[in-house]
Amino acid sequence: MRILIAEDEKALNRLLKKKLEEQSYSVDACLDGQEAWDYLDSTDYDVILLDIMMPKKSGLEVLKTLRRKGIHTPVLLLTAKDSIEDRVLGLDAGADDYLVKPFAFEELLARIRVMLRKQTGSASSLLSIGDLSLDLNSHQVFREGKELSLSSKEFALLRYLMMNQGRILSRDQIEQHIWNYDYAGSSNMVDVYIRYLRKKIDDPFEKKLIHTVRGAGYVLREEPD
Amino acid sequence: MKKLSLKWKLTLLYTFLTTLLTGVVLAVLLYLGSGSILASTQSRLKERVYEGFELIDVKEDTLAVDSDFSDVEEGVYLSAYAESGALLSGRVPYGFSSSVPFRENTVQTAVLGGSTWYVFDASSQLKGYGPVRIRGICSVSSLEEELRLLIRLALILLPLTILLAAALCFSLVKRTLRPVFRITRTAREICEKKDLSRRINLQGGRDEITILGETFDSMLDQLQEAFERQKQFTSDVSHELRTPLAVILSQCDELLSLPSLTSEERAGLSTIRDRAGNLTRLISQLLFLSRTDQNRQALTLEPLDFTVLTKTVLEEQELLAREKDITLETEVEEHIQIRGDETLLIRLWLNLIENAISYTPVGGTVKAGLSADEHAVVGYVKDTGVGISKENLPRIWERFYRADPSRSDSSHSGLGLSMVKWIVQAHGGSIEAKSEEGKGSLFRFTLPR
Repeated sequence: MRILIAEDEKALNRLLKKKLEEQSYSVDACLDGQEAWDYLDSTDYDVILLDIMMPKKSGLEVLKTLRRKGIHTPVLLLTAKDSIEDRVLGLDAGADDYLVKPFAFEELLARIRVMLRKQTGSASSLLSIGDLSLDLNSHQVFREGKELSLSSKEFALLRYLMMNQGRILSRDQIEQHIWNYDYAGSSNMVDVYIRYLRKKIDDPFEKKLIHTVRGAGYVLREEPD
Repeated sequence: MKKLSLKWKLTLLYTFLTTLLTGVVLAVLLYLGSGSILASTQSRLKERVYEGFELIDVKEDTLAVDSDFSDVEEGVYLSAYAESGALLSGRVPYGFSSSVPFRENTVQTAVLGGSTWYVFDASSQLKGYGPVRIRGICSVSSLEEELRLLIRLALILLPLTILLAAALCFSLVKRTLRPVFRITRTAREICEKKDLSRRINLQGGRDEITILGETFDSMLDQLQEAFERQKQFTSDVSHELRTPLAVILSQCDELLSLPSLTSEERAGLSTIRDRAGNLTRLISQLLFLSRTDQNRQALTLEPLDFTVLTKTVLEEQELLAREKDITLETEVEEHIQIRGDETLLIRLWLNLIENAISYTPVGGTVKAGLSADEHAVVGYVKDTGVGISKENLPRIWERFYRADPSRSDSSHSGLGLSMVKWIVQAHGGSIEAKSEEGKGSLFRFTLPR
């Protein structure tokens, strides 16, 4: 899951990036509206955190342009204390949620999970396919009731696959959603990670869940016997 | 002389000059001093002799000599003689013999029994008596004694002066040269720590060395700025290029999804797409390296099973090797646990093996292995490829260096090994390359556990 942070307050920006990365999200952070737009123009994000008051281009402008272009990525607005008007304007312009600064970090994480869940149409924080389940809150993964230990990138990859279960995902798509802008691309890093993940969640079990679609990419689904 | 430091050279020079000057001044002073002391002694002698005549009166044809005449005043002995040479009155110093002939109005120097004397004679016609001679004698020996004492004093004082001068010179030179040492130290630190932000910071003073230091600092400012601008440039350019490339890629994807394309159009679009993809990757790698230059590339350290990681990469790379009919042999020790950045360590293996495969001819062999002891993990990749010549071997870690420039394999950026080296070093390890032209190369890295 890839998240864009647009926040001009440097300390908060850095903190947000660090905290979100600890949750295995891949994060790009920028300091003004124009830069935010450059990022949005070149990559798909799963969630966008937008500060309303930003130099060059305000968060509201970015949001409006985004929606006008038909991009429906969930947007969470970060607003100052006393700007009810901004919040109303923001929600009307197509924001999915807002948080008033200063906010508790746990709350931000919970709101992000809610937004991600909405996309998959799941009501709880537990994603599952067959006998494999993944807890978005606690970062635990179980198969046949047994807990599996995954590295943070493996978890990020599985989370992305599970949120998009049944959909064929290309290598590029996976690369874009698992790694942030800072990642120095490599042709088969995704293949290595899929192989890695398979060793943990598929190989020890009879029923395989990760499937290769020749020439297209990978898909997580239950195949009929 | 050449081996001496400037500090000692200057101290020696100053001390020598001080010694010379002091010596000369002392010699001149002594010479002039002794001359004038002797001259004033002679004139005093004459004065006393002339005064002596005033002390003698003639009363009723006999001489009446004042008692002062016999007093030794200012070291001068007076004696009066008749024309015949008979002593009339006064005193002659002990040990002085009267054999010195009478010679009027000249100062004689008489050496008698080891002592030297000045002798001055004068005669006068005393009214009612006749001629009377007066002789004045004064010892030069005591004067010479004093002079000798002075010379001895000078001989003691001179070395003391030299020592004092040397000590003063040394501390002065040391103080003056201190800023020079500071300049040297700063330059050395910049070289060793590769930290251009250091400055000499000589403050106050308008002397030449302070000005030199300031000039140095402002030069460093410019250097650092240029250096930073260059780094920033790489980073900026890469960012600027990435956005349009992303657009090219997404447009290609969109067009390729159209069912109406002819196979020719599809092939052309695919080529554009692949090349744009390579470019994007190249730019990402440049950005990666520019972040390492700026010390902004962070590591995400996690405990991980290096064996599983290595095997996974090798299995994946085996597919690539098979395409070129290259045998990939592996020799991986089980259960090696380390703490490291997973993505970067995968990257390390990917780059090393891709590199080996691309420089190994069809049918060759690439061998990769991993082993560990208590302190370190050792990994290697060995190929039977074209190898690297001795003079090029140290250059392979340079950015954009390629062993064979004629190769236009665009998927090979020439940045792979630079990244490999950084990854190994960032994990606190080291990497070495051995190669023999035409026989193959060996890359071996060591990571601490």
